[in-house]
Amino acid sequence: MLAQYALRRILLAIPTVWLAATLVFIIVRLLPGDPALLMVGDAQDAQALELARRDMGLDQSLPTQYVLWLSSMASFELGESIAMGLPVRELIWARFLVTAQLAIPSILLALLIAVPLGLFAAAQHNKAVDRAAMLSSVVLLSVPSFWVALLLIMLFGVKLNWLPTVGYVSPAVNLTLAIQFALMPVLALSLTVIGQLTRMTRSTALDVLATDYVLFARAKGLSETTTLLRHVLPNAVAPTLTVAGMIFGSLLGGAAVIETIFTIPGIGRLLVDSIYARDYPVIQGAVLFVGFLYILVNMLVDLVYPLLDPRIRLQ
Amino acid sequence: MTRSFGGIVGASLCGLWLFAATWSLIHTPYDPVAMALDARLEPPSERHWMGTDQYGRDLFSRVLDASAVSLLVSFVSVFAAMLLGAPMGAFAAYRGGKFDKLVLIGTEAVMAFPALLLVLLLLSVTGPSNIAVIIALSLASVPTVIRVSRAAVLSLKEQQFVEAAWVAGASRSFTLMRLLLPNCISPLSVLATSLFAAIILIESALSFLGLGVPPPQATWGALLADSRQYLAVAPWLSLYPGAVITLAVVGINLFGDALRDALDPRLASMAKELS
Repeated sequence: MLAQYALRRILLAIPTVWLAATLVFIIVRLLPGDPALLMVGDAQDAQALELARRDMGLDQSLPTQYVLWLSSMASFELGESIAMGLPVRELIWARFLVTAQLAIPSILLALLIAVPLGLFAAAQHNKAVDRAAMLSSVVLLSVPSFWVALLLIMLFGVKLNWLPTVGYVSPAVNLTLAIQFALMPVLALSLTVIGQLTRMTRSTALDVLATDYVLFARAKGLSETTTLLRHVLPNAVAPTLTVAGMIFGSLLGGAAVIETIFTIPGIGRLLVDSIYARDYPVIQGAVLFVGFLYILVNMLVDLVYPLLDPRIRLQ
Repeated sequence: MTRSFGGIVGASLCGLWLFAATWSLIHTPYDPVAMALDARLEPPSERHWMGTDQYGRDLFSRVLDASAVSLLVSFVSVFAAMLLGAPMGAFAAYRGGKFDKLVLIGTEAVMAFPALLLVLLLLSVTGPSNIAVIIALSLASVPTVIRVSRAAVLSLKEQQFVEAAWVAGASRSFTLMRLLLPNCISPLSVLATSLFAAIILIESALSFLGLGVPPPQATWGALLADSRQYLAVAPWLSLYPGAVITLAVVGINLFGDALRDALDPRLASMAKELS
C-alpha cells in the first residue's frame, strides 16, 4: 500500500517536471527577444547571428526546437555558459552546494525555534505569551530579509566587529571561518521562516487541541506537558513539515538577495549575475534546476507524510 | 478584543501609507531628485527628518516618492492577478471535466517555481520596466488566485442555494457571475491581502537587485540597495527605508489577519470555543 502510494506519487511528479520544463521553454523562446541576438550581442553581425541561430537550432521549426530542447534537458545537456565558458551543469552543481550550506542550517534553525514556540503559543491560547508570539511572528514574516541582513551587518560587522561582514569560505577549507561567515546570512534567511512556521504550528496545534482525543488525554489526568508532547505535537507537526518543505525548496533557489548582499557564490547569485550578463544557457539551466529541486523536495515531503501521519488515506 | 486591535493597527498603518503615497504625488518636503552637494550624508535633523543621502537628497522625500511607486506597482499587480485568476478558477470549478484538469495542471507547472525566480526569469526576457515588473508579478501570482477561487467555487457548487437557482432555471452565466463569484469574495479578499504583502516584498527585492522599476525612480528596494555602501557612515539610509517597508507589510498582514478572522466563521467560532 505504502509502496504503491510512493510509486504513484513519483509518477505524478513526471508530468509536473515536464510542464515546468515546457514553461521555461515557452518563456525563453516565445516571448519577444531573440536568444541568438542576445548571445551575439550585435544586431549588425549577420553572419554570427546566422551561426548562433543554427547552433541553437533556432532555424528549425518550433515543434522541432521543442523536441530537441526537451531531449537535451532530459539528458542534462545544459550547454555552456556564454559569460564564463564553463559547462552550465558543473557551474550549477558547484553553486548549488554552496546554497545548500545556507538553506539547510536556516530551515533547521527555523524549525527548532518555530515548532516549540508555536506549540507553546497554542497551549497558552489568547494569553500574553500567545499574543506576544503572534505579534512577533507577524513582524518577522513582514520584515524584508535583505533589510535584516543589512541590520545584522551594521550591528555585528561594523559596530561590534564580531563577525566578518561579507564573503564566503568553504567549510572544507576552514570550518570555523566558514561558520563565522555563514552566521549572518543563515540568521537573515531563517527569521522570515520562523515567523511563517510559528504561525503554521500554532494554528494546527489549535486544531488538534480542540479534538476529542486531547480532551480525553486531559480527562484521564495526563499533565499538560505530556498532553502537548505526546498527543498534540505528533499530530500538529505533519502540516508544519509540509510547509517547511515548500519553504526549504524555495530557500534552495530563492536566496538570491541574501547571497548578493553577502557575496556568497550560491545558485541565486549565479542566476542574478547571469541575468545581468544575459547569459541565457545559465539562466534557463539554473531556473530549471531550481524548479526540479522544488518539485523533488515537495515530492519527498509527500512521501514522508504518511510516515508522520498514518491516518491520511493513501489514494 | 485583541483581534480587532490588530485589525485597527493594521488598517491605520495601511491608511497612513495610502495617505503618504497619495500626498507625495502632490507635495514632498523637498524635490526627491534635487541634489544638494553641500548637504551630503547629513544625519536626521529637523530639516531633514530622515537625513540626506550621498548626493544631499532628502531621504524622507525619497521614501515618500518611493511609497507611491511601490503602492501602485504592487496594487496593480495584485489587481491584475485577481482579475485574471478569479474568473478563471471559478469557471474551471464550474465547468469541471477536461478544462478544469487543464487549468489545474497549468497552475501546477507555474507553481513549481519559487515566485521570485519566475519573476526574475520573466524580467530577464523582457528587461526591466514598470509594465514588465507588473506583468511578471501578476503572472507569478495568478496560479495561487486560480487555486483559491477554484476551491471556493467547488465547495459552493454543492450548496442548496445554487441548486435552487438551477431548479428555478437560472442561466449558467447568472449562476457563475451573480451567485458563485460574489460568495467567493471573502476567501479572495483574504488572499488579496496576503498576496499584496508578498508582492511588496518581492517588488522591493527586485529593485534591491536592480531588476525592478528602473532608475532614476526611487523605490524602497533601490533606496536600500544604495544604502549598502554607507552602512558605516550613514546608517539612517538603511534604517528608515527598511523600517518603512516593514511597517507597510506588517500593516497589510495585520489587516489581512483581522479580515480573515472576521470573514471566516469557522475560525472565529473555533477561537470562541477555545477561549
